[in-house]
Formats: sequence, C-alpha cells, structure tokens
Amino acid sequence: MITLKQRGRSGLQFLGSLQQFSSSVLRDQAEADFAAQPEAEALTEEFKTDVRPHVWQQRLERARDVVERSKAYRFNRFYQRWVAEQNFIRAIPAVEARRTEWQAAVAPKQPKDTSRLQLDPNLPIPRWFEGVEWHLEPGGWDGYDLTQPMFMAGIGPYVFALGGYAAVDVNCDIRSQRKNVLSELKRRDFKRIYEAGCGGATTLSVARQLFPNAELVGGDLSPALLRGGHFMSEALGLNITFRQEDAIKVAEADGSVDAVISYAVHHEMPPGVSATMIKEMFRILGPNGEMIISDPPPFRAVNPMQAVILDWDTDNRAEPFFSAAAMASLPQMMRDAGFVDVEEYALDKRGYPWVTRGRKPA
Amino acid sequence: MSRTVARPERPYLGQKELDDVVRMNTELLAELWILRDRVTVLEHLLEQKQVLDRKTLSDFVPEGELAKELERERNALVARVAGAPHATSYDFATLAKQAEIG
Repeated sequence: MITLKQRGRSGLQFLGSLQQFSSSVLRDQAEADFAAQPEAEALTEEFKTDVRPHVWQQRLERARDVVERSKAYRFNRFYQRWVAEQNFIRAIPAVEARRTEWQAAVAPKQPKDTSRLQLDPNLPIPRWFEGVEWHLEPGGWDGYDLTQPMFMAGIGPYVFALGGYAAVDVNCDIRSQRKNVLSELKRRDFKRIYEAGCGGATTLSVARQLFPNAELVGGDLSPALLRGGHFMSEALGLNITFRQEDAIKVAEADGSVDAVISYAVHHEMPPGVSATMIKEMFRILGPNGEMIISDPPPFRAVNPMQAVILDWDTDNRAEPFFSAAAMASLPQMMRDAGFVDVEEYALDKRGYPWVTRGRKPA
Repeated sequence: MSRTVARPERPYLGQKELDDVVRMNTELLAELWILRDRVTVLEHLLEQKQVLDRKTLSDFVPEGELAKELERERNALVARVAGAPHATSYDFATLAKQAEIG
C-alpha cells in the first residue's frame, strides 16, 4: 500500500477532524435546539407512523423548517457538504502524486488467475445508474482509475473510518458494523453466499472471516469496483468470485445459494428496482435460505431530525434515491417476494446499522 | 467531456455570499492545519537528525533583531486580518510601508 505525501495526508486528516466535530458537537447542539422547539414533540409523534411518499415529503418539509432554525444544524450541514466535496478535491491530487509508485507497487501483484473476475463489457447499464456522481465523486464509481488507492490510502482511513456521515454515526467503524450485520444471519453452515451490489470486497471479506468454508460470489454493475475487489481478494487469498451483472438478473441457477447479502445498496437504487432485485434473490436462494439486508433506516424508524438529515443526502451528496428508499418498505418487498420470518431492527443508536432479514420457506 | 460535480444552488447558511466566506475560512483552516502538521513533522525530523531538539525550540526566547522582526510581522498580521472589514480605503503611503514587512 502507498502512503500519501504530507500535504495530502494532513489535508484529509483535517477533513476527518472537521467531520467528527460537525457530527458530534454541532450535531448534539442541533438536536438540543430541535428538542427545544414547540413543534418538536408533535413532529416526533407524527414521524412514528408510516405514510405514503407525498405525505412524507410534506412532513419532511415541515420538520426541515423547524430543524433549520438551529445555527448549529446549518453549520453542521455546511461542513458535511464541504467535507463530502473535499474528500475528492483533496484525495485525487494526493493520489495522483503517488500514481507512479502505486502502479509500480500493484503491477507485480496483478492476479495471474483471472477466473474469479468475470466482467461483461456488453452488460446494459441501467439508466438510473448512469451519469450519477455518486457521493460527489466526479464520474461516479467508474470515473477514476485510481479509485482503489484513493479510498484505501486516503478517504477510507482518514475520513470514513471516523464515521459521522449519512446514516453512519460518529466514531462508528464501518467494518465492525458489517461484521455485526452479517452476524445476524442465523445459520453458520452456508455453502454458497451471494452478495448483490458488492462493490469491492469490503463486505465479502468480512463474510470470509465469519464463513471460512463458504463459496463467496459478489455481483455488481461497476467494473472498477469489481476489479478492486478481485485484486484485494486474490492478494489476501479470500477466494471470492466477482461478476459484473445487474442484481435484477444474475447468473445464478434457481436455488443455487443458501444466503444472500445486500449491504448499503437499496438506497442507491429506485424502490421498484429494489423490489425486482429482492424477487431475483428469492429465486436464487434454496429452501431455508436466508437474506440479510443492511441499509440506512426508513424514515418511520427515526426521529424527525435524523429523517431530515437522511433526506438531506438525496440532494446534497449525490444520492438520488436515498429519500425514496427511506420511504419504501423492504420488509413488504420481502414478503411480496415470498420470504417468511421477515423482521427489521436497528443494531445501534440512531437506527444504524438497520437490518432487514427473512427466510425462504422450506 | 469529463464529468463535473457542481456546487448546490441553495446556500447552507442563509445567503450565498456567507457560504462563500465560510468556504474561504474553512479552506484557510485546512491550510493552517497542513502547515502546522508540516512544522511538527519538521521539528520531529530535525530532532531525529540531532540538528535541533524540541525543548530548545520551545524554551527559546527571541531577543534583539529577531524579537523585533517577529513583533513587526505579528502586528502586521493582526492589522491585516482584524482590520480587513474596516479597511475602507487605501493610500500609497500605507501600502509602501508594507514593503518593509516580512
């Protein structure tokens, strides 16, 4: 792994500190400010019941008007946006400064066995996925050839690792959260596990720890992320197969897997696509197969302030489907697909990680 | 054409110009930290190479010409920053004096 030069490193570390401050001191003050508003109690009660999307929009607008009275909240959002932009504004030049070193370091380590990386250059990319600068990254997931070192040597350790963005609470370790979520799978004897929208190897590497003998397969639309995951998997001997495919139609036979994971995926797709994907996962699961989903919590599961903060990501952090997903019901989609024993719950405070799980009947 | 990320139209702090000022301020804060990080690393490396020890640096009290130079620069910095909102005009003599500084 490369290390960044002093300017890049310290600049990104600054972003981590600013985001921590914003999502702790300013966030706490904003919550206290909200609680002191005369409308707070009624809004909090109102948010406990689920309603149709257009009513959620109205509720969110009213809640936002109240939340935005807080100066701490306004600065909190300003810094959140600034850090989200600066992640790339600082990390890209920092990684470019190490391009030669990175390429020299990875060239000899390029996996010789490419059988576990199956890319499909002819795969139709869905319209909802194309042209989005996901998380404010110019070009989206596939816009930058050094995405992997940018996250691994920069944004990951210096900013994301400290938490305090989107649904991830401050000082929360996103790797531990993945482990906690996967530990919610009931069985331990899985032979074949599929992850829909795996990105790289982040969640599957945790799955490898928990299920050392299972065959692991990940599917995603992004070739850049799959390449990164494959590189990592081969380097660490994780033995994971990566396949470029759309999660609504995957190259798995009926009943061929006994567990399906989807981690932080549904908020990045329209709810209609989520429903189709869940049906597809039901198809590939065998009898008694389990599906576990972790995504940001729905609006009905959080207080008005948290709902306003989650909704904010839609227009401010290039997450076009964040709010639509938070208004949808994953448990209902799972039941509609045929799953049983469907349940949903939070593993930690502020509703995150939020788990939805179910089982395919025997 | 390469893809770009545009800044949002809606200001976060109530007014676009205020957002702009706070953006500048936050950028400066980042630059300040990068510089402080670099100075600390520099001190550490100088100490490691036995050129200087940090205790000597911390205990050092500037005197004579060095003390005067620091005082001039400190006062000029305060005047520039604290005085910026109040500097409604400028003239040749004031500007010319600044040439002596730094």
